[in-house]
Amino acid sequence: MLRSRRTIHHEINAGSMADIAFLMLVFFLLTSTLDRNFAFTRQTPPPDNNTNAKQQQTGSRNMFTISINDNNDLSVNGKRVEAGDLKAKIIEFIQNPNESAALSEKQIVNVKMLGDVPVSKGIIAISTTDNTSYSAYINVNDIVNKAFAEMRDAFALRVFGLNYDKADELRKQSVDACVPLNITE
Amino acid sequence: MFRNRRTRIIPSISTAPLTDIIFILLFFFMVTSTIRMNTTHVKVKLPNAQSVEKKKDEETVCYIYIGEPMGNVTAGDGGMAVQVNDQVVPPADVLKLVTAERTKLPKYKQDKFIVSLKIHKDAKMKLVKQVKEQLKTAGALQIDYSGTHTLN
Repeated sequence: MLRSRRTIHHEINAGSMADIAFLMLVFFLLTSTLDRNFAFTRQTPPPDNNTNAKQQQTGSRNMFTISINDNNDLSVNGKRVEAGDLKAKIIEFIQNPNESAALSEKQIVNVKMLGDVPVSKGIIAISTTDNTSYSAYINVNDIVNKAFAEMRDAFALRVFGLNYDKADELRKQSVDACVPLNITE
Repeated sequence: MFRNRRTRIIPSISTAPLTDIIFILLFFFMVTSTIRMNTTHVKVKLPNAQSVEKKKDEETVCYIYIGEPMGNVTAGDGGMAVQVNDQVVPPADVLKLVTAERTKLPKYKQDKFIVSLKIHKDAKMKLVKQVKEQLKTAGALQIDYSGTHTLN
């Protein structure tokens, strides 16, 4: 059929489609969250009845106890320490460059890709009192994480020539086996 | 046709591209957001930490919130209440609930059971230790401590 010259070309109103889309958008906004979950992971050892015996066996030489009291003051093995000095003390304890008898012992462990490596036997213990603030506890955990991240990074650079973050999964596991993070509560 | 030199036809604005814009916005939000599983009954202000990393939500199964009670929730020890997934519970019931959550999973996933702890920065360690002891007994060995990422 021929279109007459008088027909007005009408467009379908797309405004109602926009309304439907708006409704879907609003529904979606209400039911969801832009939740970004930032956290650090800790693997706790399985509940063991001989844990106390094992701790005594390792000896106080290999235990680095960080205590937090009610005022959120830190002390290491009984001596008062400032938060700023804690990281350096942890690194000194684990790395023990001068083989001091007061700091952690090392044992030779066979690690994949690297062969026999001296690995520290040090264990970090974090103890808190009932009224210690949770943020102080997280702060100490944070300092421990940073200390180990620094040590692992330096080790990875020395041994593989790569920064820890840039290494692949297998290399990361080797570095983790050489600088193990043992935390007990 | 209807035109001469003096009249001008102003074309009507087509609203079809508007729907495209709305759909793009919708898809953006669909991709970047997560469906909220738990309604919050406690207010949690997370502590600051530098060594926290972004965690993928699909791996976590159980959320434990410790914070200031909102609405008609009664405060427990130290002014904070404990919420497991989406119900507020007295602190001693955490063991029961977490074990129930863990046994719901198939066997091969039970070892990779992760609990995410979102605890208020002013909470006292007494309550936190109580919850953690129960998690240990329940066999939840991998724990994510949440915090807001800071640069210093």
